[in-house]
Amino acid sequence: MTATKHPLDPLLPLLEPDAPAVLANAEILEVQDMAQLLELSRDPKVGRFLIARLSDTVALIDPGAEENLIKALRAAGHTPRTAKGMEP
Amino acid sequence: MTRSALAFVLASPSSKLELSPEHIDADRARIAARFWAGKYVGSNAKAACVERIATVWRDQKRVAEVLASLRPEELAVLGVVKRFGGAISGTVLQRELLARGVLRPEDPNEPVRFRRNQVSEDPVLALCERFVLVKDPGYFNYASYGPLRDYPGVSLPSQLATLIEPAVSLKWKASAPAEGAPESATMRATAQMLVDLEQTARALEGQGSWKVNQGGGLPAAARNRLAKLCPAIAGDPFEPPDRVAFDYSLLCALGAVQSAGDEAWVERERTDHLFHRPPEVQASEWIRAWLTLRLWQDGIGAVPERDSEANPTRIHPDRLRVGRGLLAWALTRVAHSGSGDWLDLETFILDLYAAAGDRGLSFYWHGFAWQPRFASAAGKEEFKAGPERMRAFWMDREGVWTANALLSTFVHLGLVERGRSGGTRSTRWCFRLTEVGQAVFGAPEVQFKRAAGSEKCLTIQPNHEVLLYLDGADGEVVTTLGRMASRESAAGLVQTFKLTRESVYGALEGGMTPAAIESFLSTRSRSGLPENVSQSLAEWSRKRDALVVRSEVAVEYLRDGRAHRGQALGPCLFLASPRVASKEAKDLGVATESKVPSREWKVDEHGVVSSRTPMSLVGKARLQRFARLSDGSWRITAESVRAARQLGIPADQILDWLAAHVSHEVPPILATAIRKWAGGSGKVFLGGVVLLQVNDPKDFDALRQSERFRPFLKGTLAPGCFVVTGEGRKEATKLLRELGFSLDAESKLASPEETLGVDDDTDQTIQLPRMTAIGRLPGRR
Repeated sequence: MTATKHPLDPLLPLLEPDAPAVLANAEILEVQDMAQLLELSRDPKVGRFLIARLSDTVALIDPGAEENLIKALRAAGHTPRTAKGMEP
Repeated sequence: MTRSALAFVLASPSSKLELSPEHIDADRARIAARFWAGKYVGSNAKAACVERIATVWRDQKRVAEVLASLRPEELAVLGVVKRFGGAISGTVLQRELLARGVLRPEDPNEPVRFRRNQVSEDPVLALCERFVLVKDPGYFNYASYGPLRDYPGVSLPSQLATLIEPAVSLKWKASAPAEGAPESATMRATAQMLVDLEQTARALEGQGSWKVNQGGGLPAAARNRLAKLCPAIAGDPFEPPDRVAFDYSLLCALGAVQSAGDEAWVERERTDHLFHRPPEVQASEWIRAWLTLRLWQDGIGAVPERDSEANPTRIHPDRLRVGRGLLAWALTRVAHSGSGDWLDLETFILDLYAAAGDRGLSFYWHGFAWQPRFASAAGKEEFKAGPERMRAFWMDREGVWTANALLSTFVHLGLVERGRSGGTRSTRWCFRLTEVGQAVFGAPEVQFKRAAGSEKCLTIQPNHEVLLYLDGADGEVVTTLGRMASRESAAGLVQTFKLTRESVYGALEGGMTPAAIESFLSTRSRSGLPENVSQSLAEWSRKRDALVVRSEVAVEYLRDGRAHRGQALGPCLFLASPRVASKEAKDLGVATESKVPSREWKVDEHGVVSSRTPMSLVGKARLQRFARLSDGSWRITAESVRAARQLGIPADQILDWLAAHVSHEVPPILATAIRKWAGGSGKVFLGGVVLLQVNDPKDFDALRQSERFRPFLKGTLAPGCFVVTGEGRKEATKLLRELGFSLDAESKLASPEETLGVDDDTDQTIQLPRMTAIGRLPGRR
């Protein structure tokens, strides 16, 4: 029996660090559903700024690329909300 | 209904004068001290005199007694200075005193008398001499004699100002009445200018910061970009030239745009404060700002911050400032005439010439944007030398500037209404102050009657268009609407804005909440908020919330199988606040990654990536985007790089990531390969050539120049090396033998290492040939 491959794996692999780690001051992209993350990862102009999948709806942004990602999203017709810190 | 009392538009804020010996010379200190403190038998040293004056100034009763001793014309001068807020330019002071009869007009036939005490007869200079008025610092021409003197700018010390009553306002009396109401009239609402400024500030803000020219001017390219965002009314001859530059200059003078060095930016706090003030207050500020503009001139447009006598690029700003001051001064008098009647333009300008004098408004300039034909300037060349000729030429220069300022700039600002009568060849222009213009120029006596705030001045249509009625708009509605809707039309008293997903998104990102947007539109709309528009607003807000870029969070990868604070994303992945995550990392002894990645990786020419320690979280995430794990090691391959390229990750990004994590330089051949794999091209030639190596440079030169040998040569490869044609090899061998060459020498080539270093033995060895830019061997066609 073989494990089913996740549809996002070829586009945005799941984050699997070698050892326990904490990344402070990270930037992430949150979407509503997996289909949306799939669509964004497929878009080369957007996907290049994402480096890993944290879940089906959360992706890790390449450190320092947040502004470029927002510009790319807006250029692609999206209206991303920018937020700081965890939601209460 | 509310009444708004503005400050006198030409008033300057008075300042408390610190008496200091530096402000006065010893002689004048002695005269002033005697005036203020009376005769004194002690020291007349400058410092002692100044101290005596300061002592009297601290005693208001004593000051009142001294001021009561002044002559009536001197008190009149003080009243005028008080009316102007305690400081007044010399030119305006002179014209004001003339208009009030304190000074008498110059009589060219009157002989100039020189007397020792002549200065004291002049009320202004007498007050300056006794330190009742303080002259502005800088050069002042004392060579001005006669009954009508040029004055320096003067200030009234605030210690004395409280005891002076301001002079009553002067009225303007036209020398000839206007010919009734005009056949057509044009005016702009002040709010229209407010919308223009707000839109310009918003367009500028969208650029973050921008480069400016010397003096803070906007470069032509930036002006053109802005002009596209803030379109003008096409073909309007009365539109101020370079309107965007006008808006920009005003914003700079108002403090809404700040600059340092060659960089400028919008000061949002100042802009918000300014735009939220009542329109008439803003209009008053515009006039104060207009008086100081250096890089935009009425009827000319944007000008550089450069003056040259030989090749002038603009009206000298100092001269223009005096001229603007005198025009504003005349309009304050018009506002106080109280009639609100139309004034004939040419008559007004001729009266201004008489009131301001030919030296007040004086700048040699031609070629204004609007060129009215004045009867008084017609045939100016025909006049004989004298006052009439001077006036005709003045009308054709300064008069035309005045016309441009009045009927273009001030109409654009919403302060003047323009009227027109007659046909094309017999047009008569006239003007009058608008209600706001009356309030601005008539302040503080003339008050503006304004309807109470929160007026409904919007109509929201189901097609998402918002109509803004400028006659009822205030700063708040213009600013708030500008934040959430894009302007569709720039002309008329009813302007059209449109609510779009992008414009509303901009407002939400700017800090407005969906509820605040809906509340503003509902409150200010005359017809409520259509249901479908309300739904669109909710939908756009939902779509924005569906995609969030979040910063300042921490990602935790913990494999202890326990629950942790924060949001669980998977069995080992958690999202937490940086503070919580740091504490948890400390408790669990887990390393917290810094923003600067550790350089622990090694990469070889085969593309194999290894790390002595476990890879960082970011490093591993990046690596798996462009490398493949094979047999327990990560390797960069042509396939992995092409796959990354397809996902939008270019070679440069891969190389940047590698450079950030490897502890040494990325092997150049791997870097080259990554570029090639990602789609770069680099053709090479690999094949056999017939090489003729001649070690002796003299022999090499002889062969190179030989007519007999030339047919067998393809080209040169390096010093001492020919490439011989394949088919000519036999013939070449024969010829070389015939010429006495022995063909049994061995070829000498430099090793790759030698070609990298300095090779001082190039006559003995051959450097590896380099390909030309188009991939050909040198000398080969």
